Parts: sequence; structure tokens; C-alpha cells
Amino acid sequence: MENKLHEAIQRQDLELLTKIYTDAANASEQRGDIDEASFLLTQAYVCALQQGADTAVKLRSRLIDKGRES
Amino acid sequence: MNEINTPCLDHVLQPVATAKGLPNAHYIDPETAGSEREKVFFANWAAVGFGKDVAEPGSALPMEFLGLPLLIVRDDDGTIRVFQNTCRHRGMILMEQAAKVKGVIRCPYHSWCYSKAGKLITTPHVGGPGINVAPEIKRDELGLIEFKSHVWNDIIFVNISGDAPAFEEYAHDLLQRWREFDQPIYHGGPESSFKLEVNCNWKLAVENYCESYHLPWIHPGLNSYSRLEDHYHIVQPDSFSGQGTTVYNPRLDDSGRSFANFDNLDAKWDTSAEYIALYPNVLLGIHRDHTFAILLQPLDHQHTIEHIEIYYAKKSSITTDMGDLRQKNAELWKSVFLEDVFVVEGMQKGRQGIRFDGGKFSPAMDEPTHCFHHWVASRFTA
Ligand code: FES
Ligand SMILES: [Fe+2]
Repeated sequence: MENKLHEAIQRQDLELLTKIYTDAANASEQRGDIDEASFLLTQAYVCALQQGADTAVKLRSRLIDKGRES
Repeated sequence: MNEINTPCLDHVLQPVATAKGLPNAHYIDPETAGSEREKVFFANWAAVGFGKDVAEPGSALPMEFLGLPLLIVRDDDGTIRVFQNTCRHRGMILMEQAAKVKGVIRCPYHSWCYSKAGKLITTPHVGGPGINVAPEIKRDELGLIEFKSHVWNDIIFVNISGDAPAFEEYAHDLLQRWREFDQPIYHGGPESSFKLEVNCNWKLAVENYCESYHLPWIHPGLNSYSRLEDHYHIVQPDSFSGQGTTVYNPRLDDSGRSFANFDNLDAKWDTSAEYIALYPNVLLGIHRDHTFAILLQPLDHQHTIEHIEIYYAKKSSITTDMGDLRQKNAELWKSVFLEDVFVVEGMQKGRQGIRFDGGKFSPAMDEPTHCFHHWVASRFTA
């Protein structure tokens, strides 16, 4: 993840960043690490918001479900 | 400063025949400029930009208005809003370059995100990692600070203090005077947009703009077809002043092409044109076929940027095949405005003369200038 993340940040590729964070969040959630998942979902959410991407809606509701967003 | 200023401002408030101009301090003293920022610019409707520079939903333009960082944004429904360009968290500048905001305005520091309408949308990790809410963080109280704004003829005006009368009331007399021109206008394009940086206080640009007294000496070329006696004064106490000509007759090329006129104008406008300074900082020109606006952006008390934008009455004037004609028109205006640079800069230098007393007005020729001085002085004494 580190390398891919670095590259995406360098390129300001918000779509890719959203995907990288979301994938990582999914993995954390599967492991049952809700704090880490919420952290990563937040990162994904901000990238999606900044890009005006529809995925922001879904990410937001996942965070709301965990009591992490309003 | 006050002990010196108050009696001098009494002189300014006299009728033109006995008045003196604004004292030197209003041009060369930073402290006086500081109170002018509040009383003249922030308390009134000042121009800060043009709608064409935030053309699309999401267009965002940061600018500095007398040291105040502003962010001009066109939101998704097309409304232009003017925000303080400062994050509500730790006061970070939000945007430093013009850009198209796709989704939200994200603060580059801790990523608080604001909508294009200024609403605080999210506050990542504000309650600890992965927790974006906290009882103390009331989002509806932490939106971007928005200033009152109004767009007229594509000019964006702001009232920073928030307590000026509505723009329509503030500019009522000018809107009435030019109500026939309340029609769509079309920006000419890149050749119709230019800037001049002048080493003078912004007021000198206003003063020079609204008088015709200097035309024979500073614009002898213009004077060959638009003589001093073809001009009239325009004076609206407490609001605007300027000059008009009765011999407007553009001849930009020999091919017989010309710009189309606004619809349904009074016959008077066949040959008339008017040049008016709407106080404080916008200089307007109106003709049957085109208009222009010069926005004076004061960088400090002795440096000003003049932003000049030319608009046309009809879409047919902004087509590619009319480009050369627009170019000529822009060059004509630019040459006129350039002729004025040495006088406004020279008056700035002259105000270092410690015994200059504000100057003696010509009652016949300087009334529009005095009208402006009276307005400025009244802001200080009100
Ligand atoms: S200063 Fe803007 S988010 Fe912290
Ligand atoms: Fe001039």
C-alpha cells in the first residue's frame, strides 16, 4: 500500500486515493479493526468529497453507521 | 493624526468655490489609510472582482482586498459568493491560487471541508483518529465567513461591514441614470482585459478619471475629436461623479464595420457617452455599443492596480471575425489610460510637498473631483 499511496499522492490522483483508502478500510473492517477502518474511510471520504465523486455518499453513510460522522 | 485632520476635512466639506482638497495624509500616511480601509472601503460597497473571472460553477478566485484575504466562489447554482479566505479551525489560508473546485473547498492543513456555499461539510479526525464529530464542533456555526456581495454589470461588489444599505439603494441614482443600459453585456475576451500598475494612491485615479479639465493637455489626440467644450460634468453628491461627452462617434476602421448597439436607447446616446466613478473604487464608461469598468485595487496607500475589462452590447460583437476591431478598441482605451499614468503618479509625488494644502479647486472645472473629496471626507466625519 505504501508505494501505491505515495504515487497517488504525488500525482494528486484523488480517484485512485479514494480506492486505495477504501480497499484498506475494507481489509481493516474484515479484521474487525473498526478504529483503523474508520480512519481509512475518513481519508477516502475526504478524497471523494474533494473530487466531487458520488462515492462520497456511500463512504459517508458507512462512517455514520459507525457513529463517526454526521 | 486626528488633531491635524479634522480642521482640514472641514475645508474639504465647504462648497467647491471655497473648499480645499483632501490633505496629504490621505495619500501618504499609512495610519490614515488604515482608517480609510474601514470607513471608505469596508463600510460601503467596494468592487473586488469580475464575474467573468469565476465563470463556471466551482470557479474560485482568491484575492487580497486591502490586506483582507477574500475567496470569490461561484457555487453550483451559479451564485457568486465572497468568503473570507480563512479556515475556521486554525486560520489557514484556504486557497492561494485560482482553481476550479470540483467537490468541496478542502483546507490544506487538517482537511476541514467546506461546500461551495460555505457550509462546513466534514471535520476529519476532529474527535480523535477516525472520529469526525465532537460535541464541541458545531458545524452549522463553523461555516465560512461570508460577506455581503452583489453583482452588477458583471462587477462583484462587497460590503465588508455588512451594514451598508442594499446595493440597489446605495447605487440607486446611478442605476436610475443608466437604467436604459440595464441589458445583458458580453465580455470581449482576452484582448479586452488588461491591467495597469500605478504608483499612486487609488483616489488619484478616481479624481483624474472624473474630470475633463485635463483632456486638452493629457489627451491631445482624444481632444482633436472630443473637445473640452463637448464635455459636461456629472455630479451626484454622496454617490458618484464624472463627465460626459456629446460627440461620441467611434471610427475604428475604414471597412465600415462597427459594433452593434444596445436596444431601445434614447437618441441622446447616438452621440453621448458617459464616464462615471461610482464611489469608492470603480470607474465606468458607457457607450451605445460598449461599456468598460476599471476596478481600482489598492495594494497599499501608494500602489494601485487598475483592472480594465471591456464589454460589448451584443453577442455579434464578440465573434472571432470582430476580434481585430475589439483589439483596436482595447488599444485605443489603453493608450488613453496610459497617458494618465504620469499625472496620477506625479500627483502622488507632489503630495510629499509638506506645505501642499489639498489644493485650490476650479469652481468651473473641478466640481466632479470636489464631489468625490466631499464624499470621502464625509465618511470620516459622519
Ligand atoms: S486550519 Fe483548516 S483544517 Fe485546520
Ligand atoms: Fe484622462
